[in-house]
Amino acid sequence: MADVLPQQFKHNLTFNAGYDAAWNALSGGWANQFSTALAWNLSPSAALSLAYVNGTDRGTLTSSNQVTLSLNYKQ
Amino acid sequence: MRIALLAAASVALLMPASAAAIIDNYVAGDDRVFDLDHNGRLDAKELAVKALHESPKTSDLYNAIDVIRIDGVFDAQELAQYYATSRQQSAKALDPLLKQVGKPATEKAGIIINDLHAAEGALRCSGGQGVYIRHDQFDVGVYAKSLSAGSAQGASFKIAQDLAANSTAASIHGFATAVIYRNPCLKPPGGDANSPFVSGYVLAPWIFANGNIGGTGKTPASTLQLGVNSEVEVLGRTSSICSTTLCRLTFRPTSRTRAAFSVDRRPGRLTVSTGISTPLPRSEHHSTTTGRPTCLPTFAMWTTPATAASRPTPATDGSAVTSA
Repeated sequence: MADVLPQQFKHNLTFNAGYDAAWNALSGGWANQFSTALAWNLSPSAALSLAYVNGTDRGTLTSSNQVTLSLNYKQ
Repeated sequence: MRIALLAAASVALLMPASAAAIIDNYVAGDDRVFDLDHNGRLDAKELAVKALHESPKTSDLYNAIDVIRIDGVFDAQELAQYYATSRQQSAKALDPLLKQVGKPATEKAGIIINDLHAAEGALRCSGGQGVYIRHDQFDVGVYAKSLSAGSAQGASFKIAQDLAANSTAASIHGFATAVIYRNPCLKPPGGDANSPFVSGYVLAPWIFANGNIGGTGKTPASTLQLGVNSEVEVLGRTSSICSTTLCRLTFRPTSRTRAAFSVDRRPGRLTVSTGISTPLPRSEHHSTTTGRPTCLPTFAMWTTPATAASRPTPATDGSAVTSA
């Protein structure tokens, strides 16, 4: 959720947010994670996104509280 | 249109029932052959190709030649096939094409193909994208058809701030390549496409980077790869492999050399590995009737690993490292 890929840019401005709660049976632990991302197209070939994720990943059960700024470019 | 219909019918016959059922949901009728991306709709490019195939001024030309990949472009394979089959047709069948290129009906087909190659050059052979910056090598096609930037993934550069650990990490993931030499439109010597000839080539060095710096919780490994992508296409009829009346052999050796440098930055360990891999030649058989592949392509790859690993040992005071 926090990582917006450039091919997902259907619109000039994209915002998404989500909350994920899951029980990992193999590791025996709960995962709760909130994530949100704001992305916009600078040009047809460049896109910028700002994402925030806070909580525990359901797959790795690692916790994070992180802000990510991404620049995507293609030619 | 007759050839295009024949091609579409052949494809439909070769498809399993499930695939045919899916096709039924696509654009109705003959228009399905123009739906290159199989999304059920004709976009602007596909509509332009359809217009070329249906316009009274251009339909004869495009329906006779643009039959392998119906994209409005005469590639070398289509021209070679057209030349090979048109030689067996009567002069009357060639009349529309002769008029199209402004040649009298008495001229030989060998002259037509030269004119068509020139026309194709204006469309495709003289241009082409030179530099690509994409997510990885699968987003790049450097031979003749390039994956459009609109449908490709881009290279990415990220900066992440870990608020809990109060650390900053940066990462990059990108593939860049530059076409040095490319010509996908070489003519057959003397206009005779029945003998094997080199119909195109491309040479493009590339670099791929995938790594990160700083931060915690990330895999502390980076990869930097360099290589050269090259292709040589040979078109021709090889009777020992397939019947001269049923198949045309397209032989396109693809060579992608790769020298990889992987750096594992776990504490006390540094590993640098290099290797070169090159795929074996790939061949496809094409029906002379529909031009579409009729046999499964053969493809194999061999790899020559050449690994040099060093494991630096931190000095006792941590100020220097020595290779083991």
